[in-house]
Amino acid sequence: MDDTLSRRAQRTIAYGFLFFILISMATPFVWMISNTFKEQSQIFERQPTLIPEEPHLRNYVSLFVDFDFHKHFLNSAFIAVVHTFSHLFLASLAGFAFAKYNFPLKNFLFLVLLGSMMVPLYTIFIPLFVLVIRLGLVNSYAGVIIPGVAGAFGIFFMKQSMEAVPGELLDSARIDGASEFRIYWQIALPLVRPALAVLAVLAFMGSWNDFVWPLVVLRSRELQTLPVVMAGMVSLYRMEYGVVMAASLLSTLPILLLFLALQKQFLAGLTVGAVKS
Amino acid sequence: MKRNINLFIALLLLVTMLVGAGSASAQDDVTLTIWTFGSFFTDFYEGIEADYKEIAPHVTIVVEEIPYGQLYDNLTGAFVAGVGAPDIVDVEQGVISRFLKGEPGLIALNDLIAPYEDDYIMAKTGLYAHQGTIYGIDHCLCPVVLYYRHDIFADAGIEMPIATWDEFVDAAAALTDQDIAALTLSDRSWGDFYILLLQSGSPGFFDAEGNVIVDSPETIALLEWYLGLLESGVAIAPGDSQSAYGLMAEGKIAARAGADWYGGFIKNNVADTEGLWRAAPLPAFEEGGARTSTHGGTAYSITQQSENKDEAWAFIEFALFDEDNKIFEFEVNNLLPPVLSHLDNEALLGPDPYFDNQSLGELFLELAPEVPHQVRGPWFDEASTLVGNAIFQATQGEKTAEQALKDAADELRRAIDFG
Amino acid sequence: MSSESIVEDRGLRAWWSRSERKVVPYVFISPFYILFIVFSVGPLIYALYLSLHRWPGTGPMRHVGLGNYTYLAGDPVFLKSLWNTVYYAVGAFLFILPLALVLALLINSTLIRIKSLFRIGYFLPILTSTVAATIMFLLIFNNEFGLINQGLASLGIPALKWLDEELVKISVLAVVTWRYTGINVLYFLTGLQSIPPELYEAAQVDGAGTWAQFRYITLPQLRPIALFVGVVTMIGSFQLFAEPMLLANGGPNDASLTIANYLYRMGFTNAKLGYGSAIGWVLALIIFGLSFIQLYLFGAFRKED
Repeated sequence: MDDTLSRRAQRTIAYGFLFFILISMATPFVWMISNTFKEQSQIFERQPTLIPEEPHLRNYVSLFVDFDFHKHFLNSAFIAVVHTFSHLFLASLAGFAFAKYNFPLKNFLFLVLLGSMMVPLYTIFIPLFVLVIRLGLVNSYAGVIIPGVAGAFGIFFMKQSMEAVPGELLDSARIDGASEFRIYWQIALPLVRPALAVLAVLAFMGSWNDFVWPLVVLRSRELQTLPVVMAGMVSLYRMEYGVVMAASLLSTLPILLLFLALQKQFLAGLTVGAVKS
Repeated sequence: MKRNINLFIALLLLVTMLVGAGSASAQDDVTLTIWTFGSFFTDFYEGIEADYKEIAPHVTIVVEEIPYGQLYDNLTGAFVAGVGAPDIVDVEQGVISRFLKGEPGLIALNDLIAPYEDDYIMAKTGLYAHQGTIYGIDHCLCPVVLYYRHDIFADAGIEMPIATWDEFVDAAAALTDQDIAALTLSDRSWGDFYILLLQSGSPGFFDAEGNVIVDSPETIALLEWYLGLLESGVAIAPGDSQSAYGLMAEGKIAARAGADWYGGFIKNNVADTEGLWRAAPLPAFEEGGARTSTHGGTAYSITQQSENKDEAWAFIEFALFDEDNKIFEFEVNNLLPPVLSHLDNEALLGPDPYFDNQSLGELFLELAPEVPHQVRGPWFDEASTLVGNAIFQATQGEKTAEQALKDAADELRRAIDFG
Repeated sequence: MSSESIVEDRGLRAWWSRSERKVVPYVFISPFYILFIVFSVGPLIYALYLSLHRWPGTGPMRHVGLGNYTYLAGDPVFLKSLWNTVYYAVGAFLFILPLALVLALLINSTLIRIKSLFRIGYFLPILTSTVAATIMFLLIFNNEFGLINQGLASLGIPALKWLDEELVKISVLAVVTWRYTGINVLYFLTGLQSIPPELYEAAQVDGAGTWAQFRYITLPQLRPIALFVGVVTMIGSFQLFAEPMLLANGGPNDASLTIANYLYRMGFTNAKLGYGSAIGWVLALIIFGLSFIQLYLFGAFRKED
């Protein structure tokens, strides 16, 4: 009796805390949604209203009419999809190698990998710009996708997840004569599905929100991606607050959908236990 | 032997191709690439493109719109790379100084603008010049006026316009009594201070020889006066622009010095007060002194890398000095032409319902010849950041105005020595 | 096809079956290193070269040896930005990580049923574009009209200046916490998911309580992901750029300026390409050193038994 009561209390406290944080985090977001239906001057009212008095869709209309939102949306989507699939493959492959093999220079190479994440972008911005021109990557989607396709972050993340894959499983496959690539593909990869699902969301998001590479590589407006176009909406002599918030809201949808689609995978857990026993 | 003949034919082909290509390009199509940062500039260029095609059929205009913050990073990249720069670039006044260092990647425009020096308002070239060489020609005049709530001033019994700042400050006491600030001034950035500094007759942070005058007696005196306005409540510092708009809507701020484009900002952000605003010349620092200043601007520049510099200038001439184009640009982006003969165009002189049916155009036309000259050069970014910090230190009481500006000037000289 | 190449082929195959496990890891990791060499090493070497010069991007370079680095050591604004950056990094470790861990543990616990609501809710902030998010926070922190100050006013507390010198770093930290907590919840959840349930079952059989299970199973099992989260958070905080820039332009009086902001101001706004590169290298070395210490403390270099 005592036990169940304390468990109920625990549950109430847990929910209370989770909801408190949820509300604090959602407030700016919900308010932003409300602002997308307002005039600029209503956004700055002393008594901001959550439900707009005279809601209108002008910000959304402007997004499509003045800013060709749909075109840039498709550009971003194409780049993000190609990036995500390639990155999942290359990052899990390298993460597998770092987690499950011992080879000369491994620690050194791993430090180099980590080191690559530590280089501040603006240190190498100028040389990168020169490089993009010299390699003829200007105005090509390959130029946007290739440089970051095997990013260190994903490899590091996959390595940490691959650590949990039991070595005995791999060894027994080797005894059966499986090639190393097959071991990675058929045994290790299915076991880290939750991590792959998380990385898919992160990789998609990273590409979707990437600002620098599209900016450096893509010159023609036709090819340009959403974040770059959105950055242009709020600048020195022009501040389309309502429009940029509408754009921001719509541009979260693909990641949100991906998140929803993959979230069962997040919880799939390692099936290692079952295999082991 | 056979191989040699093949080689010969190949060489021949190559040579004819090269020669052909060379002779063709002499009269053949020219593509002018323009980098700009705002869709309002893109709209303008795209709007005049077809007309230009009729005048110069061999020229194609390609506009590449890049967000403001990054356009100039890309331009630096292109200068370092030695390739990749556009022919024409819109250089915003806030970023020009970095491109005046070393051997500028932009070309001198003195000779090109010279034929227009009676019509073009040459005071604006100071923003984009170093040691007499002009690297940019402004799109806009950006004259500063005093936007004010005529209802509030009338209620307090203050008659506008007011001739001098001294009289304005005296009159503002009637507003301060009602807990209304007559002005808004920044306590942390340099913009408002710089507007007043130029209006007071100073060339800015540097004199004509390029010496630092941030700690000159005149600058110090002006900052002390500026602090006085904030301390007495004649002016307040809302801290951020959103607060300023809100206070303007509530009538807690009665006036603000701003450029032509700032009128548009008031319209958009304080929409509910339509009809309650008017604009007046700035009160002068002394009887008969300048009644305006200038704030902002974006210049046409041509890069050294451009292979079509003549065509580039021809296009700029078309965009800037063709009156129809300039009026079209005003309709697209609200930037007033920096060309005297355009300013009396009917399209600019109409009444504006938001501003109580006042014709702002007439006011700007009247003030245009008084737009002050200024000296900027390659160290302006360093100077403006340091002065912004100095203003903040002084308004917070961390330092006196004199000490804050002296420290800023020392730091600035150190930065210049560093190179 | 000659018989020679068949022999060669057979030899190759034999060699492969002998050496597959030695060669394969290098093949697997090679895409990263190829791209790294092209897109990072080259640019870094160039940046190192630039850092030994003073150069505005055009015209002749002036060689100054280590002059940029010695100037840096005595540059008050750099030291201020270093202090600000350390402040943000410490703040991130004190606020974001514990909060994210607690949230992840709660969501993962059997107490909570509607898990996906929280996972998505906490993840929303990072999906919001930085520009749009910053506008929202400018409205929230606003002196006159901000949500917080209006809330305080209704409680009779005088308004606070959230973007002034004293509070601006706290405000930046609040935005950063808002933005990045959710993603760390997700990382921790991945870690928690990978703990085999048998471990808990066995512990329960042995009569271990909730705390003991947390202390002796959850925490040690979370080590790989905690190390990942720690290193990523550290790297991220030391490269913090957008939030202080958009909220307060690095000010007022440089009070919110980060090293990355200062690097940008020097290298780009002021066209001191050499000096900017020197700041970039110093920043990279600081991050590298701190990551190395973190990895060492977590025993990442010890051979796994």
